[in-house]
Amino acid sequence: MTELEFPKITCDIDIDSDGKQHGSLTIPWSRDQSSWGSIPLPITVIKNGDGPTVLFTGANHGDEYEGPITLTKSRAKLEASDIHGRVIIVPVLNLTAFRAGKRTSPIDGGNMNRAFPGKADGTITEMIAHFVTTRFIVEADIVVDIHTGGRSMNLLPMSIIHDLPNSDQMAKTLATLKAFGAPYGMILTELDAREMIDTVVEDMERSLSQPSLAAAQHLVLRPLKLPNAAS
Amino acid sequence: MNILKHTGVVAGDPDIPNLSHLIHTPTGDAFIASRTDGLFEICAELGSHVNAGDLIARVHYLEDPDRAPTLMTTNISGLVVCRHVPGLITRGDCAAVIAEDWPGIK
Repeated sequence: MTELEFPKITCDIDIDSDGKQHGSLTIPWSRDQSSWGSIPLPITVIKNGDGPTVLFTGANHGDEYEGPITLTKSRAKLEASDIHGRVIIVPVLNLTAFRAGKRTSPIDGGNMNRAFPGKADGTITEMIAHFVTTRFIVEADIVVDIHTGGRSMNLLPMSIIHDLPNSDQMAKTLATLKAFGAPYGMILTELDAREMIDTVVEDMERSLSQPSLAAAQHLVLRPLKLPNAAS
Repeated sequence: MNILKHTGVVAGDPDIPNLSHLIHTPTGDAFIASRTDGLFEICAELGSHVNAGDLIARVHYLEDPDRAPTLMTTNISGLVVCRHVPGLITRGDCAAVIAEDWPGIK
């Protein structure tokens, strides 16, 4: 890591230390109301010795509240003594959008999941995407990015992956999808998958599962009773 | 927790009462986009099975009582996995997504 790679965002915890740490990324945001202001973005790192790293992210889109609820509960519940390896939790990726109840950031209009892998010296949305890519995703064996329908869609509870050309990578990713245990598993061909967190992770030859828990701003964290549900 | 067990970060096997029903969206026909602006009525609810040609949604014209609603149908058969929520829809919005059963790794 060079200083030039991260000119602006700092992290106040050492993600390589054992134990359970709650901290923040600090994203400078100078504005009329706060000249030397910043956005403290909560993160939690739980680590116990060597082992795989799993990254959980929520509110990649700010109008999707179910991920942050799940991850807020998970960070309280999970202790270092429960694990071998490391769990990194970012309950809310696009914090300014989340605070505004919007899919995109009111500051820069950024759609976080169309901003990956981000830019070190870009907009606030691009800087967060860049930090997450270069500091967390590179360290992760599996990335789970929790989405829901937000304000404009309702979805069935499902775990989503892309149809990957590399068969080994596809098999590994599919195993992760199945392990998530959602009622439905979607192998999604997107209208446009560029600049998504999934695509960055796939490009790094990692395994990504994007669970989609359900419902537009309705909290549905358990599988619904559905017609045609898998048996 | 299942993912943590799957990776070995937490000891034990994932607790999966039922295997995920695997589905996919192989063609652009899976995404049904509105071609008009208006009042949105979903006709095929989330989780229902539809056949090619079935009615998926209607778009009504509040200010134009004489105009018949626009009908949106599906070109493929499958499961309704996503629906538009707001009462209004705009040309280009995704009205619904229809997924087919996944045939397996090619």
